[in-house]
Amino acid sequence: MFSKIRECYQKLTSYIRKGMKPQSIQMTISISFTVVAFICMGTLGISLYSRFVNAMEDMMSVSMEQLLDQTAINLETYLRSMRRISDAMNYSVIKDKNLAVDTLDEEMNLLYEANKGNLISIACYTKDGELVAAAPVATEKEDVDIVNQEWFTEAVGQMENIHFSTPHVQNLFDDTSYRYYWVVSLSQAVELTSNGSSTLGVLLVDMNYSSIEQLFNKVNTDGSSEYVYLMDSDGEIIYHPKQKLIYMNLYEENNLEAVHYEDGSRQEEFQGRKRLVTVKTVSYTGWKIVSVAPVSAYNIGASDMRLVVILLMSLAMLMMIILNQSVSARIAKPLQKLNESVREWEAGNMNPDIYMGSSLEVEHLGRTLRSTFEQSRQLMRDIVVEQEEKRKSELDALQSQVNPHFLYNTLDSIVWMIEGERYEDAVFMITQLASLFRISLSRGKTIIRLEDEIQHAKNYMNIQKIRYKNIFKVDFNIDEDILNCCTVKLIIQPLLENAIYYGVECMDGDGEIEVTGYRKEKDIYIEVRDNGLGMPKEMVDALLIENNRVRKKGSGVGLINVHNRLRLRFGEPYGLEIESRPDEGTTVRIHLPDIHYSTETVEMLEDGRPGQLEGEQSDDRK
Amino acid sequence: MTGNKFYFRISILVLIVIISWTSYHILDNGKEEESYPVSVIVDDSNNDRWIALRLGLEQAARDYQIDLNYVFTGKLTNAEEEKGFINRELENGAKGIIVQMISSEEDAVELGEILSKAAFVLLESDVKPENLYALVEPDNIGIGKAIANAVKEDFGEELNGKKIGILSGNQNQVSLQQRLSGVEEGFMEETVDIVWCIENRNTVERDNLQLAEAETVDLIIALENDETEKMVDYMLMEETDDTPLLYGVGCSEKTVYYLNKGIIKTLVVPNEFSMGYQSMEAMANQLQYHSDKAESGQVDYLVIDRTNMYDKENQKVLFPIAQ
Repeated sequence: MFSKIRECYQKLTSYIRKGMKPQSIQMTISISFTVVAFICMGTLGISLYSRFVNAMEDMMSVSMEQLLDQTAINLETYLRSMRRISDAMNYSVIKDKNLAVDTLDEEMNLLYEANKGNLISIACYTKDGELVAAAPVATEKEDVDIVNQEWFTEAVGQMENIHFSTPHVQNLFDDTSYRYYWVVSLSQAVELTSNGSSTLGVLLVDMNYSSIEQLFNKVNTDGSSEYVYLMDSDGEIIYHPKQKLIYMNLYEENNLEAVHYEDGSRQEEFQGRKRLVTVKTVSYTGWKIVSVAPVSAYNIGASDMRLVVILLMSLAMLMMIILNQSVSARIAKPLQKLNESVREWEAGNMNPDIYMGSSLEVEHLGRTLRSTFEQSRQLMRDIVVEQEEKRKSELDALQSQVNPHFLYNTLDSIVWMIEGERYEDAVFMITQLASLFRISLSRGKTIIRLEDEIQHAKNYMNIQKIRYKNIFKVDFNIDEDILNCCTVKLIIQPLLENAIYYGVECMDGDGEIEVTGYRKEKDIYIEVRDNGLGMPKEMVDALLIENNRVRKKGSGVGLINVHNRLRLRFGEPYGLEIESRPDEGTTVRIHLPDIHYSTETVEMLEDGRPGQLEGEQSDDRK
Repeated sequence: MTGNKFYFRISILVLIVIISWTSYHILDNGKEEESYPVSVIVDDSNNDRWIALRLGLEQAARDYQIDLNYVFTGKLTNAEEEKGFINRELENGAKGIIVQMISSEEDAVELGEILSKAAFVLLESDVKPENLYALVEPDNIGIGKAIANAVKEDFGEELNGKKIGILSGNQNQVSLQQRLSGVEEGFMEETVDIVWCIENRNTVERDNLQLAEAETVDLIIALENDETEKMVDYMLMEETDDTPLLYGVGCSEKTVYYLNKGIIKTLVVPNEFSMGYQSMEAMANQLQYHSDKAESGQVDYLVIDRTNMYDKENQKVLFPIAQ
């Protein structure tokens, strides 16, 4: 049990935690407003409804009590008038008459005629049940046991009181039209005087039950489920709107319980139904008038009210949700647009359109964001420039590494030629050196025409061939159509230098170096191939790693130098590719972008904007 | 669809459903309830014997909001005439018919044709074959036995050899057949002589000569209200010293009056108020709750004589309060 509760609690908290995860501003505002509105309206609706129900119950109770008071007054008036008839008959007629010589008929008839709307009969009996007088005049039934009838025994039993019976069928007179009468009998003991001697008698006033019935029918005519009934002090029903059904056991009433209720209203439960019962005791008789209102009767009104409250609350909620949605959208939209601008910026658009509308706060935010972006862009530009400067200086440093080595080696060779009186060779070499330097200088440019670079390589190889006494062969196979492309200067010469030193130097005339240039898939490739010693794969892999420079011989400017220069200038995809196998030779492949040589392209490449250049080139191609 | 839009649409949808539902119920509460006209067809509808039944019908009609049309029929002579009344009431728009079939023979088949047009409840007597239709009736066999028992109680040992005449009423009706069989069952172990049993198939063409045979019996048993009244009339007309004792079934004011006068020795009174109420209740259940067939019901009866007719409980049944 405890573990189940804990499990439920954990589930609930986890669900709430999930629900509490960050939501959009619009949703948060919308839900918050809606929840607050719902709580307010719910509280308002429930309190209104409960006030209505309470007021209705009070109203019903008051209305019932008023109705009962009025009914009691009417009934008491009626009973008082009946009692007056009985008293008038007793004190004004019977007591004054000497029955030995007088009769009661005339006065009795007069009283009957005056009240016959409410009366069935007036009769006077001796203590033995003999009829003294009766109005209207009628034939007595044969063999009727008067003295044992309830009204008679009660009158004789308590002579000082006036007795009201419960409704019963009159069993006194013969009516040849087969009619019978439901009556309520008022009986009292009287003193019958005959020649000065008094004997006990019983005066009977049979009230027409239908008079009481009509009086109550008027109260019960509205057809609602509330009703009023009448019972005597013992709980026996005198009138009930469903009296016949009660007599036939087709309906039940809680009269035996209600007879013990005090006057006033109270709730009871009868046959599983709650009812508001109001009781009023009638004077003279001790009868009780009871009104019954099933709680469901005013619940119908309450249920209508409940529906109306639900309808109004739902309508208000509907409007509230729509209003909340539009207000929250109005608040959240500018922020969402700002957020979208930030997302755009995050996605790489360095110049997003910053939203600056709606409220002052959002406008301020937008402006601040725009200024922040601007500052950021400026910072990035500065960084780029700084990086460019750094790269340029590095390039310059690399460039400066080439010249002293080469110059030292060449001049050393010329010195040896002159000393060996090989003046022609020295002249040729100096001429080649001059050409080489001309191209090397290139008026301070880094980017030169590929044709010049090839020429530079040729000059270099001419110098080296003289220096090495033609112990190797050099062959240049360059496609004509790539000669007018751009390249970084002095990239072939270090490869040739490596090919000589590491490839063919020790081959005693069998060494061959081949330089090939071609275009493939919109890129330019220049291969320097030798048939020298070659190298294992591990060494090949280490060649282009900066910390593992292989500098056993040569200018000290390794392949990594060329590779870095190419990549710094043209970007990551470009640079050197090396293939080598021991004893088979080495191929170093220069991979360049196919960029047509022109003043603009040179300027762009010099400024370090190869990306922009590629875009323009592709536009040109299109 | 974002979460916000989803919840927004769901909320709107839920609220629209609630608004529609409450509006429907508010409007529905204001609608007038459907009326259910129900016609009641009984033989000789103005006869006093139907007073209690009619009060029961009216009370139930009020309780269940039924438009009661108590059809004036006069004395019905044959089943065709009665079916004419039924058809006329159906044509006039009656949604239910409560009918006391004056002839039970082979009526069920013919009833079936008109049964589909409206709800039906049979009153007092079933039709053959039995137990096909909803029926509210007194315990007819019990009534027959109750009369026989009353006779046995009155006569005791002296019952042996007594001559009995029976006015068995319309033996076309299952109810009267059952009452007669109840009487016969009640006397099965007695050595009584049932001298005659007049079967009144056609009350109009009654053979008065046969009634004269009443003089030859010690007691007469009348199995229905009309027979009891007619026997009372006969006895009042033919006042002699050795008038046979009359035991009857009845509930009219006349029979009650002559019970009080002593002309009728014992009266068995079916609770006709309950019969009327229950039949209308059964009809209301059929119409308002659209049940295929209403439940049949049986009502009780009282065995009354002069001495107990004004008892508190008996007078409630014998003398209905006209509310």
